Amino acid sequence: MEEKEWLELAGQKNQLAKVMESNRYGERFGLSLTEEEAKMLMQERERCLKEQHRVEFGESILPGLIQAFCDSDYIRGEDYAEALGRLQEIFYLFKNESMDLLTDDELLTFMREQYDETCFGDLDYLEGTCLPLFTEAIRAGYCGYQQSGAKGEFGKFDIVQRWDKGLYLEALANLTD
Amino acid sequence: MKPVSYEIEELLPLVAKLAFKYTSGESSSVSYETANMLMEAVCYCIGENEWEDGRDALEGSGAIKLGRAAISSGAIKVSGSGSAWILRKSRNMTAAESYRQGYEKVLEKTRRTQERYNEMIADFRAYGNENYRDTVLKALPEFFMKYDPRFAPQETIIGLDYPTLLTVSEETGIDGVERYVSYISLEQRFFRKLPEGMAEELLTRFHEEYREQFFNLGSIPLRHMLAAALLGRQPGREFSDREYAALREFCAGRDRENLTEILNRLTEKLVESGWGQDKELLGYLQGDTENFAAGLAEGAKRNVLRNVVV
Repeated sequence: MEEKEWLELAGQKNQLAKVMESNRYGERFGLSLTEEEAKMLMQERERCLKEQHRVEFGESILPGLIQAFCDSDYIRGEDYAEALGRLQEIFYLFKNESMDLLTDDELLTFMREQYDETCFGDLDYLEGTCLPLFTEAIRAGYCGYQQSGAKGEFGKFDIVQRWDKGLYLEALANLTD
Repeated sequence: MKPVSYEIEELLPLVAKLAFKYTSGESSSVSYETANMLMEAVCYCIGENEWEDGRDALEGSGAIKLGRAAISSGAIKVSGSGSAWILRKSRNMTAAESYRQGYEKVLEKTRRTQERYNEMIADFRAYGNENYRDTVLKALPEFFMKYDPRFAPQETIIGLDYPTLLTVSEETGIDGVERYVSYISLEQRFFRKLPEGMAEELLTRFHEEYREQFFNLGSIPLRHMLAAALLGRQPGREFSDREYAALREFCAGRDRENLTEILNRLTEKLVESGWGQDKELLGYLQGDTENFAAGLAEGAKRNVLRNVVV
């Protein structure tokens, strides 16, 4: 058996049931996947894993993604499956970019926090700015995220000053004048 | 009995369990590189259990051990990466059980090798040779410190830079290092019985700067003693011109095979007289006879025996 064959065989387990089970997290927020959508996501998963040269021996990360993002204000019912597909893709990419130094939980925590607080639901921004900056720091040796669980980390690497108190107070003062 | 391999379906769950431990359960996926490393780890341990001796032969096919070791023709299937799936010796054992036993054997072998190493360095002598000293006193301890019997038992980690008379090129991980340590121990056993000062004198005679060179030190006194035996005299003093001429005449009419045979017999007598019935040491020292025979044949032809033996 060729090397690639056994690696692909390793990932080919029926994850569909587990993904459908995860609907219980999203249903509270009006989010749900049809079986068709879940199958599509499973196919996407295989494609992403192959592309990123990764193997999942056990449960896929999709249930974890659903649990982490289902209560975000920026995830809507009509593009729920598409968003999950993108998040899945981003997740595997940045597991590699972090050289596997980030645990699943740390990466999910960072992704969710930045998705809401910095990206305001913009997945391109998450993929193109927040995550690259963070993982670049990790590759350079930064490990502060281990204590914080990757919470509140982005501020240390952000190159944009997002909110300035002085400026805010000045603007407020101008409004009341 | 036709050789049978473990099926991939038997090996995958073992790799999955190992991946879970490797990531401490904190990652649902691993890279291809990691997955391959762990598969090799599983295969290595199973191989350790199935094949006691890395050079064990399966019905004459010369089946060998796994991981990145050399492959004997037809005995083991090879994947694209050069890893090998393991031949199953016992049909009654599951892959899981074979792996478990093999892992225990890897641990035991590591412990035993470290013990032998510790005994050996108690009176280790490198005779000032930097490569010998650095390999044995710096590189080998690094191996024992960094060796990972669980997740990467197949890795040798260090370079075994000092050349021994027999090579460990086919074996990896603890198998390779165990063999290497045994060769160094045997060589030290050989050196210990030489008259005081003889080794240094011969080494200096062979190459004034032997301390910075990368050849096997043991071969120098060994070849000197064998050449002295060929000439029918005691070892120690330098060979005269007449003696070199006699040696040349002796070698001139003989091919390498014949010379090797003669040297093997002489080595046996040498070991018997100086080291007793030490079959291990004999096997090790005879590792040089073929090269020495080739050197003598060529040296005699070109009249440069002084470069071959001092």
